[in-house]
Amino acid sequence: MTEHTSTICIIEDNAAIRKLFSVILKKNGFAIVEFEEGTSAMAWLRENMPTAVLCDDILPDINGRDIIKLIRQFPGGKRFCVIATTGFALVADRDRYIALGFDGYISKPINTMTFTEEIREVIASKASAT
Amino acid sequence: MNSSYDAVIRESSQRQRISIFNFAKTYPAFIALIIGVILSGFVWNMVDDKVQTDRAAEFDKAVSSVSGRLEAGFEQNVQVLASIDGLYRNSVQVVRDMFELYGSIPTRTNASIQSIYYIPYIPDSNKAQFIYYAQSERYYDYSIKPTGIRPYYLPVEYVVPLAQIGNRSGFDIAVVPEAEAAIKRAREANGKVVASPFYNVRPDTLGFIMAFKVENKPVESSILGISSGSREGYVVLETDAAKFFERALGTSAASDTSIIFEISDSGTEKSIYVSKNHDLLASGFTPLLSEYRSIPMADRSVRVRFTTVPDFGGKFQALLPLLSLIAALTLSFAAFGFTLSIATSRARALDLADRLTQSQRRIIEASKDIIAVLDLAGNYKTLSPAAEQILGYSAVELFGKNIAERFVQAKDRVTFKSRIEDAQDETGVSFDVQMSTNDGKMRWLSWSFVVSRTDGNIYATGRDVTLQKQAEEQIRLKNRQVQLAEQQALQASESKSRFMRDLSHKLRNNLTGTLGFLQLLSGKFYQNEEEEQYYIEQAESSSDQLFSVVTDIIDVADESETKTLARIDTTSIDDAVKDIQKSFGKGDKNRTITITPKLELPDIYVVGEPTLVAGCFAEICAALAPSDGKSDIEINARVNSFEKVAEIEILAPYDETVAQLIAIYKQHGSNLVDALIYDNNDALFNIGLAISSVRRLNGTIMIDSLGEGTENVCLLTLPLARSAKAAMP
Repeated sequence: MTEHTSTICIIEDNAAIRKLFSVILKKNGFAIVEFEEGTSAMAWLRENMPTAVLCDDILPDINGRDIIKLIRQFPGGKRFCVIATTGFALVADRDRYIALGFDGYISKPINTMTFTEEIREVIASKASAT
Repeated sequence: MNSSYDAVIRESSQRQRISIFNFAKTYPAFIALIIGVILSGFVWNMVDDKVQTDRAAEFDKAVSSVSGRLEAGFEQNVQVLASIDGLYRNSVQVVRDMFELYGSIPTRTNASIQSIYYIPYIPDSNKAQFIYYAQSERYYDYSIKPTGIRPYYLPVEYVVPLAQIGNRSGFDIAVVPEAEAAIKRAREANGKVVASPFYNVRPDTLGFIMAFKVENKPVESSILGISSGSREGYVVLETDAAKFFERALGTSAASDTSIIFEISDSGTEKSIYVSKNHDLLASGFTPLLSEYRSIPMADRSVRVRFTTVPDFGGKFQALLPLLSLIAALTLSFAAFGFTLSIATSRARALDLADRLTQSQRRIIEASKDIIAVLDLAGNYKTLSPAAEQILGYSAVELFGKNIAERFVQAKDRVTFKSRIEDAQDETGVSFDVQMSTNDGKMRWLSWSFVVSRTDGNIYATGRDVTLQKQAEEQIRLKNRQVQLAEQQALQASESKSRFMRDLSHKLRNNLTGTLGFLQLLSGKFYQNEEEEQYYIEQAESSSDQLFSVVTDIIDVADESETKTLARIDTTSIDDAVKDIQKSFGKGDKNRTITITPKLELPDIYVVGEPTLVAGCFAEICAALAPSDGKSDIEINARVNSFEKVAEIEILAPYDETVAQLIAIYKQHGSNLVDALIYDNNDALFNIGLAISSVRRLNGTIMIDSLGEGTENVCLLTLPLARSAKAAMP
């Protein structure tokens, strides 16, 4: 498995959102790998470990819950930093995603000003935990 | 207080006593009494006869004892004379010495023999010669006494015992009338012994003589020169009567004390001798028995009167017939009483049994439940009037008919038969069944059967529980209706929730794009106009989509737009089928459903929670399978890539009841809650649940029956989800 530093994998079926994330994170020095659907993202993630994975919960082919389950089954899958990006904004929803295995949770619509910082915090928290 | 039913009836019957004079019931006792009295009479008569017989025998024994002894005594005297007769026959001549020698022996041995004489018959013409001859026999002063001249003389010539009564020598017994008469008879008897009447042979001695004639040979005396000539003579035995009787009677026998006897001379009837207890007759008692007997005495006889003593046989013997009678009568009355007791007890028992039967009959007739007795095959033998009220058939119409003939459901007939066959004796079997009435209606009856193979009967009670069953059915229907309504409400709620979730997702996504790019524009996070223009276009695009979502808000609920719908879970059809296979495997023994999956692809995933998908399949299988028996349901699945759905086909063997319910569903599909009233095996209910589940899964469902002999089928489509495994290379 190839580790990619400063690389964030974005799994999002909405093109505008995918573009928005990509623009913000590129401006903050991250390299971006984008996927519109979960199947192709799984194929890439099996061989590559980015710094973080931003994963939408609802995708055309597979939902985010299955994605996190599969990622955790990869060899070294527990080292992946996976952040859920979803429209469910309740506290209970946040707790549910954390319980599913996500390392972090960002609700939509995002705050472009704090988006990158939130991601960095999750990455740092993950790094200190492992 | 014993409050049992039997105790109450028994108590009421005991208040009535059966009169002893209720002959209809007590006649056996009176018959027994009469028979007993008659038998008592026979017993008394028999005992009395026995007593009389015993008395007579005892009396006769005593009498014979005395008579025998008297006869023996007289015979003994006769034998004495016979021995002396032999002397005369065998001797050439019997002289004094010979006579005294032979004659003295009996006198010494027999105290009653006063004397024995030899008395010649001396005519008066031979008197002197006789005297002379007698003197020559050393009767030196012999003379005939009393003196006087008589035509003939019967003088005592020889006499023994000479020492005691030598003075009788020469006594002419012809002067004694009794003796003379005896001698005359002896003369005529020609050697046979005669006896005289009883007379005073001595002045103070009552006695009698026995005599017999002898021929004494002539005596030649050469010395005297005389010849006695052949003389006619007589041997006379003189007996003391009292001594004779005492000697003859000898030691008294035990039986002597039981009789009184009086001996009298036959000719004179003069009392000669009496028994020692003769004075008992003076007391004036009436002897039980008396008898006269003649005892032969040579050529005469004595007459003996025998009587029984007082208390002959004993007081007990005298009372024995009476005692027997009393005992027999006592037994008779005892038998009477016993028979009366039995008769009255039996009558009371019969009366009690009759009362119990009548009471039971009243209870049976008053009962609103059917009370029946069937044979072991289930045919009516008897049943209560309640049958007519409940079933509309009279008891006569049902006699001999089988109870199962009125069962509505054929399966109930089979169940009834098997449960009766398996039932243990005297153990209750309960069974609720629908029965048809005479007017074509149906009623529910709750039967309780008790099989008694010993009696060869089935005892049954049947209660009309139609109203109860209807109420239960109403409750069940209401529950089903509530469940279905809740399911539909849940479906509606979930649809609404899903819609809201989808709406939220779209709004948030489009807002993210709009606000995000607007924030980048407002923060001038672009390098050039091209990038700025890009941001503006992206913001516009997101805004357009947002506007579209708002205006098309109702269309978002369109279940055919799979791309826009929110998906929470995915489920493998294979897993869902395995789940329902397990759940049906734990079902009740009366209904077996086996699922045979024939999946084209082993890995078909549909959108939806696993429990919801499996539950939907289970509801469809439960709806299509008959309510009892074994069903084999086939499930096929294939992918329709064009419409992006999984097409699931569920096939069940044809069942008429299910087919009818499917028809009802097709007719009332829009108002299934109200149509549940026709649902008698939950098929419609399960169809309703399945439809609601399918809608919650955003699928479609079609249920139909292909006709008798074919299959009942359900075609189901569910949104397809790519499998997670398929996502892996």
